[in-house]
Amino acid sequence: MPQFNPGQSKNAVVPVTVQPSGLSCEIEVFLGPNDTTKVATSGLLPFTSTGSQQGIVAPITMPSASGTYHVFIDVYSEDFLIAAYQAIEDVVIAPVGVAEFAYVSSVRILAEFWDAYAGGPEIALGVDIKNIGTVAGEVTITGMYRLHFVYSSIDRWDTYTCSWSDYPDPSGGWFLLSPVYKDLWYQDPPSRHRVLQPGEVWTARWKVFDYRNSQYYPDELTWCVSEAGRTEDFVVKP
Amino acid sequence: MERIQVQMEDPVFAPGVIKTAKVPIDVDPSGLSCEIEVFLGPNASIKTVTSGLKSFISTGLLQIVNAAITMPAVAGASYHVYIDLYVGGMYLAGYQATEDVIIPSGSIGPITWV
Repeated sequence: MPQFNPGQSKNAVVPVTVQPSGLSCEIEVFLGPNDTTKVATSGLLPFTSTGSQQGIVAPITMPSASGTYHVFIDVYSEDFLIAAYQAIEDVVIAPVGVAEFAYVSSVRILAEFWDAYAGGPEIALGVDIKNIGTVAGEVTITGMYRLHFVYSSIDRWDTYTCSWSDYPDPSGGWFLLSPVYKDLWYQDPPSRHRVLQPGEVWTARWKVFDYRNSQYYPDELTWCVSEAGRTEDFVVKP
Repeated sequence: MERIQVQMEDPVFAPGVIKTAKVPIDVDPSGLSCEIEVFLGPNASIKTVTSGLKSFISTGLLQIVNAAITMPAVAGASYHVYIDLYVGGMYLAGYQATEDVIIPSGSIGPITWV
């Protein structure tokens, strides 16, 4: 059973035989619940009979409403209906598919590292994202972040608060975050995007804290992940 | 006797429909007992369908004689149209229409969507 999307433009190729040849004919292909209700139609398409089979192309825009539609074909010659057919198979207009993503886990620490190059600790975070929609779609970790830093130093306590920032934008100072490519390097393959099939779960993973100075360690961090225009805050206490 | 060509319009009909041929006839003098037969066929000797003999009285002027006829059931073909005129039981004239009657047929195969 042919299945199309709402509003999709298709061509019905209809093998028509009208005898005798040389007649002025018209054909109409239409979809509907019955042969008197034309939900979508090609309109009357003129052709001249050849007396043998000829393929007539009838462009038709599929109905906008999902459902199952019968397919009818009428052939006229000199305004007489000489053939009225109904296709054996109906046309199915599928509902519009939506890819919708949901977090199905909290953000969790996947691993801790010691970055020898940076000389400080790193943590790998992850969150499970599931496609709860009906069609495949691409989810993107856009990397907006907000940090609330409470750190202790050797000789003093201090508090730094970082406002919302675009992800690759370093916050400046000595607690620079890694650039985006490095933070997402933990992905396998490294990517901020992933196409998820309906029902598929993806563990999005990223690294944070590329310390330049090992003596500073965060006591609390608020991390935000956003996708598809939604954001969600996670409080992580490494 | 050779048939005379006569004009005709609207030659395409659906199979099996009843149509009335309106035949303009001028028979002189008036008051004669006449008959007309309209028939369709592949030639003048094979009457696929016919109106039968339709009686009328000549007026000496042009008059319209109606000849109801059921179109052939076999579609996908064209048929010659003949008109025979009899006066007093004698064959007076034979006509053939300039256009044939066409009974079209149509059939459709499996549709493909592209």
